[in-house]
Amino acid sequence: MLFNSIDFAVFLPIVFVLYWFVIQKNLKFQNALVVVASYVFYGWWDYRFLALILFSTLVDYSVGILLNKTEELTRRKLLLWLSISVNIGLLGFFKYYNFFVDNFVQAFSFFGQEIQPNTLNIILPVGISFYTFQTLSYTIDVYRKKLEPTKDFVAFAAFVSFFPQLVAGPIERASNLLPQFYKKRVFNYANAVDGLRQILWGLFKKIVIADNCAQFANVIFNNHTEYTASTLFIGAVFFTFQIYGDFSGYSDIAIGTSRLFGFHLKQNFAFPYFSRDMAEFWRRWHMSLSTWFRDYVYIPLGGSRGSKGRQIRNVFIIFLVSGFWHGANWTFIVWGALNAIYFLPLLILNRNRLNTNVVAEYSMLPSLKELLQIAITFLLTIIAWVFFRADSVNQAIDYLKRMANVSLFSVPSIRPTFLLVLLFLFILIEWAGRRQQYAIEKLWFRFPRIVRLFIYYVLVMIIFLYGGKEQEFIYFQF
Amino acid sequence: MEEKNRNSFIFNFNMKRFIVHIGIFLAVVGLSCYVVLYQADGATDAFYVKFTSPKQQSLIIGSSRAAQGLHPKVINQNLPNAHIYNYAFSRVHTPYGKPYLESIKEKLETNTTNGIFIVEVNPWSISSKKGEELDDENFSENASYLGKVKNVTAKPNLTYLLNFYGGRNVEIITKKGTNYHGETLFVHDDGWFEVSLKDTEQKNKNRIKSTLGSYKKIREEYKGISDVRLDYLEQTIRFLKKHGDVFLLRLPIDTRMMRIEDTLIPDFDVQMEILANKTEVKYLNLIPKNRDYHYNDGHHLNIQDGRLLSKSIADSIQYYKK
Repeated sequence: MLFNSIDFAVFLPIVFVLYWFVIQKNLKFQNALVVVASYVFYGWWDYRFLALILFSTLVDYSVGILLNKTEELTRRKLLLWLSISVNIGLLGFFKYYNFFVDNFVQAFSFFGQEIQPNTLNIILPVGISFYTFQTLSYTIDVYRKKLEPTKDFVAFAAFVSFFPQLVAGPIERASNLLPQFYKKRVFNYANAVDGLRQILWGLFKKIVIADNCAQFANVIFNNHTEYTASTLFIGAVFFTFQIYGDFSGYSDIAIGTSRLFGFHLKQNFAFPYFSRDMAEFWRRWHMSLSTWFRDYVYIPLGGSRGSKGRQIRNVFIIFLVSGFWHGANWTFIVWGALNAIYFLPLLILNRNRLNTNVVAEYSMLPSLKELLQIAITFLLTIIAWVFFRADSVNQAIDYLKRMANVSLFSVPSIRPTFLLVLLFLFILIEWAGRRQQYAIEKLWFRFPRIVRLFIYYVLVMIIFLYGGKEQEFIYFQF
Repeated sequence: MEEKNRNSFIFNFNMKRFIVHIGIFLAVVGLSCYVVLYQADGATDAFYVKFTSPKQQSLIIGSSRAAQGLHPKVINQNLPNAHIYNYAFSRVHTPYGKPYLESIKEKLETNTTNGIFIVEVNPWSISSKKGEELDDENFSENASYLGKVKNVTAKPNLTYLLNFYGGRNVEIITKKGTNYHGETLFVHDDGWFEVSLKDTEQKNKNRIKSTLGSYKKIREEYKGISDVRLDYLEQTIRFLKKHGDVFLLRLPIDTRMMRIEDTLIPDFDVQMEILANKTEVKYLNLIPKNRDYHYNDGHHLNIQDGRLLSKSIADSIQYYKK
């Protein structure tokens, strides 16, 4: 079920009413409802893959219980590896099987050996990369004794399948989300209204910004040989906003929806396009995934301890794995490698934690230096996103080659005025709200309530009037 | 107990406030959206208006050739009391099949007995595509508006607008939808789809060349005649016959387009003659008059010639009705 669909607009109020009015008094029933609602939400897309979620849930729940029963290190390690093998195995089979087979075949044909590939017609289950990582974090934390394993199966199943963030994150840690299923949720007016506000902003980002940008980015990327450098550049800019609007919009809707049910999920995007360097960008982009990799891959590898060479190796591993997590295509791996290369100078010069505060925290506008830093970082991300969006590495290279042309300074042949105006307004609002969890969290609080309501009304109407053609969320495929 | 009551009171108060506030806000939003959607008209897209008009007693059905080429106004002038309405759509959406037949049944005034029905046919409308396994329930157009919009007389037609309108809703108000060649696109109240071009001879030649090129590619996607679709064409004719006189019609097209169609179903006209005899209706085959008319793109009649042809069809109907 898509957040931006009529199905969801019907589904959400039904679950809300059942949750708060019918079974509000019983925590167990509330959790059970979350599980049922989540399975319906997921099954709406393809019910056959519910078995995978259930299987993953059963394995990690059992491993958690068994880990609690033994102190023997070998046995504990065995249990941990069982969970890792099952989750990564599922992910590997559904997401990467054909990629490996194809590359294996190509490698052999390079040496003159022709082999018949045995590829399978595998459908990628939506959200598999997200919920496998979420359950893995539970097992690893229990193994590390940072978390008490749960004995409440329903609560655990609700944690794994929690519908707002099931298919595209944020990837929640068990230590944050699971305990919330043990406590009685109390309806809070301010929280619910705040949740709705965040949903509204998420929908604006997705439907107005991302879907409209997608329309033009798709045309330009799909026919890139026909356009001048400036049009290619604007195409890359559109994709840059598309992916941000799409993914951070989804996160906003997920977090806002959770708040309606009394849950608090962690912030996933913190205005990454206002970053002053790439290190800051990666602290602000898809934070739940970055911190997951940091805690479960980077730090076990040695993190920033040890020699510079070791640190560089760790950074490369983390970015390559992150790229590969996004998809079984070399484009994602190159995208990851490129980001590692961007990050490296900062690491070598020990400047990777230079910008940990909010840009222009105490002023309205950035300084000239900050503006320049933001512009350079933004340009670097645009270049990297070309690899992310392209169908192949060759297409991305060709796209960038054509973009590095004197016609870059000509007027682009595609320049939709309404979209450029909307993007300008969007950037202004995001800038004004950059100190908040999401841009409009407290943005218009100094205005009387009626004015604020009118502004929200205008936002809803802009979504209704300017919404682009309904597109699936990009991150569903990951 | 007191604490419990207090909590319950707070919950009820908070929730009531929340529901009321959200309810009012959504009501205002809903009303505003409704007002916007109510503005949808013939400029919205090529099909919408056809799902908003009342039930009809006489119909033109078929593909976009009929939608653009047959003018109900001209036919009605020449056939008094016909009140014919153009309920033709496109090659993609209205090949003959269950969805189109069901839609026609919905659009037709049920107690009509003296209607006139022009059933436009061409090889595409009774063919299936490669890989398409058709049966009584399985049609590719099931998922389109034709299969999904059950209420074909609602204004505004929310099912259509919310699910199948491809533009931005703002264009419903500004009336500036997709416009491929600087043309005027408008569906009139009688269902006629006006495609008015600012053409030069060269532009016209280029467009015809480009359309013929596209159709050569489209031809590759098609398998050939489909028994299921042919059967539904027959069912459609038999259904309409209960409500009046049916005329099977093949519109003229550019000769080069005809050659492409001949490769799809070489004996198409023979098949139609057989069907016409079997169902006891008249088959008006205008293919021999291909060269008498001019086309926007090789198969859609231009406005002027569409009018002339509509007049001539009305005359033929008049003649055969006698």
